[in-house]
Amino acid sequence: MVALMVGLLIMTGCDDPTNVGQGLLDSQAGETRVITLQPNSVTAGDRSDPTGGNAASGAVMSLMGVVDDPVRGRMSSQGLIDFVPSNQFGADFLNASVDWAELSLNLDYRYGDTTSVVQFDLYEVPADWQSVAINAGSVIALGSKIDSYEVAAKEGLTSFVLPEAWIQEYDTILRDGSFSDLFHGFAMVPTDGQAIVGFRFSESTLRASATPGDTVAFALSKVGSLTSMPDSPPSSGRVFLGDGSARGVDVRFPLQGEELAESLIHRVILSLEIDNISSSYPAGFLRPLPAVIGLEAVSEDGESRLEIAEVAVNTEGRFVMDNTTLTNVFQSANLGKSVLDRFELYFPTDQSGVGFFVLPTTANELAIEALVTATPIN
Amino acid sequence: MKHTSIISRGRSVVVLAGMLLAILTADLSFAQNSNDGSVYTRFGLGQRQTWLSAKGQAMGGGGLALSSSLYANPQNPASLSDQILTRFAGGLTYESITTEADGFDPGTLASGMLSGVHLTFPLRINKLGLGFSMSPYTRVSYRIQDLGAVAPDPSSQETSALIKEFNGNGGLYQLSSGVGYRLSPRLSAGASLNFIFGILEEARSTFFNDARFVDRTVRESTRLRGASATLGARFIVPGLPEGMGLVVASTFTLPTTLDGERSSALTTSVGRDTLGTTTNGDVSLPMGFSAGIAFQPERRWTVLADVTWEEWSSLESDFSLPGVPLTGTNTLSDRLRVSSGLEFWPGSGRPFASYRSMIAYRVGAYTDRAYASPLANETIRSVGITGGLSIPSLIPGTTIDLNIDVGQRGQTGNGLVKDRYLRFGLNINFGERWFDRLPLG
Repeated sequence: MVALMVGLLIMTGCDDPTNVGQGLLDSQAGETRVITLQPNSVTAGDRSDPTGGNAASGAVMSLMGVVDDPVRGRMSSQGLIDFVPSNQFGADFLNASVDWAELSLNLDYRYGDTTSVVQFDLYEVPADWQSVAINAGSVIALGSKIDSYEVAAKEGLTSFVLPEAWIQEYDTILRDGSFSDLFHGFAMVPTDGQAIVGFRFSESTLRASATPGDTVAFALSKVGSLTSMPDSPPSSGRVFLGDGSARGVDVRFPLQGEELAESLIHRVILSLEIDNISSSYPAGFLRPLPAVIGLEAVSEDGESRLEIAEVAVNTEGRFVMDNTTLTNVFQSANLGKSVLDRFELYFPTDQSGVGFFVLPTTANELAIEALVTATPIN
Repeated sequence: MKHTSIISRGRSVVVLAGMLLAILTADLSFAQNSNDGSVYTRFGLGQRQTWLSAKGQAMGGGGLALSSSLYANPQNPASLSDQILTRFAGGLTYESITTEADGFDPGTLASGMLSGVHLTFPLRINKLGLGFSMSPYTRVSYRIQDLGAVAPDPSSQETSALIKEFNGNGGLYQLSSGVGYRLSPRLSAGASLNFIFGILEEARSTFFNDARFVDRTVRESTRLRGASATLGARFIVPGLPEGMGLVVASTFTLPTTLDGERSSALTTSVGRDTLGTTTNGDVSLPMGFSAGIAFQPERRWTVLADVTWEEWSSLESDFSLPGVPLTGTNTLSDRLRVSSGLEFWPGSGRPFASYRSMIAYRVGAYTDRAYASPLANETIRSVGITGGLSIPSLIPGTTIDLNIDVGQRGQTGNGLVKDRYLRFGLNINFGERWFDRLPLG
């Protein structure tokens, strides 16, 4: 008998759940629906784009040049480069005097008039600098001017022979075992031109020789770019989101209240559509745009940051973010359980350019929206 | 020898009682987690439950006036005065519900639950007795699923299927201790103190078969506790012919207030997050009045009739409950239960009758107007018939009682639901002399 009852109790798991009675719950049960949520503010933020990098992480290029952008205005990039010995040098080099040196840089990025020539002054950098601390708004003290150069905005290796005076001054340092501690790199300060160019790590070297036919190479070890560009929007109701810019873009959504009442949030698809401003540029103006955009959830004091996604532009020209992290951030904020203040849009640091997007900020033109699949709790 | 026998038997009682308690305890936790019952259990504080005894349960669910050396009846504390044996009883119920509503395919749900358990013993045989019992007071147990779909991106034609699930479980339990005293050969009176406690839990979930969506459940738990008291009386009507008996009984349960706290949580597959702050409040429980009559035209036949009335329309709650909003009118009404039953026990009064004659046969019927309803202008009524067998065991004073209850609740009109239910009950009723001091010499 007990076995019969136990059997019956076990059978309780073998039932057929029903939707009968649903009509008695509907008045208290919210429907799952998709809410299109537009930001209540899209503003220029204080996020300065990290523009320093080394061979392992961060920015991959040092930008240098000046260009009058038809939309943004005059943009100017000052490039920083530093080197380390690429191997253990031989006695022939270490025991002789350096009589020749040049910078051989791999020009791999161009923004602006690709027919122009960029003129720049090369300076010593007198003090050590940390690539991870470099961002668009950093200030680096310059040392003595070494020489003036010019470079055509053409891709490929380009060389800049260093003057004899600099070679004499740095002869012993170039051959010193503590070269990395004694030498802090160069700064390339543009003086004229209509393009910004970028020098990539790969194949970029500082070359020197003590005797003909015995040339040694110092590998490019650190890069940095100090870019200045106007922050004032191209027109009212617009804001720039620029790679290499000292200002970012903050986005705030109304995650509590009338538009999104307390809800179970199941999915958030955040999409960003950029203004097409190509018609503002003349033919021949090369304007490579960042291919990847990132989004971070940030607290009011900026101390707490959560990377949500870095996504590439899709075939429709939109950046679409759609993952569980984003959904959970929306959920926590909706329930008043997070310190979220804003979302910050940014460009990943391994994109090292000066391209930018123009984002509308007025309510009826907003190019950012979040499609929130949610079930109201009450 | 006799001493040894009593000790041995006492041990067997303890072992059996322990086993039964273990089963019931397991079932209690099982019942708390089960949520496969009627949607009507959702409203108010849950569906009201009553368990007087295995015997009464098979006779329409009444039996307030019953008193027997074979059954204790702790729901009427006055009946605790009439005890000879220490008695431990408990039962489990299996319930299968087929539920239907206009426009929906019928669904079938099944669950198991504790019927009740009690321990009673005489302090002075047939004069003063004590009893402890625990039984469900209300029960919340439902699960409703609905399929739907959502288009997460209006710019695409893609839709994703979803399942909305509403479920509730838990309920209130009543732990009582009572005492009954025979004031005169015909009149007994008693009182019990009832500790009422439990958790009512409601959950609403949305599930997707798509990893891009996050399944979420919001769960609201209301924990309640409080105490009430029941007064009971039982009177044997004099002047009836020899062999005939008539007993009337009644109980009155005082209104009380339960202290409560409510919390909400959001759960996903990876964790749980408390929502808001825990809120405290009170819920009043109404007074209740029950009356019953038991008539024996001769020893083999027993006829019962019972009525219970509870003033649930006066319920007040600081928490919003289904059917009891914080503002506006609630959908509660006073509960009224009427039942009647019949027992035929061929071997009654014949201790040496055959085993078959010692089996008791019971039938009954009842109607129960529930105190809670989804709609203010509708009352939910249950109508059912009951039956049962009482099978004697090899241990004198101990029976196994099998019950069945077939009925229906509600109706399909006005958007309501009709439940057709079938309940099986297994009850163990164990009695033995305890605490007897052996005469010396």
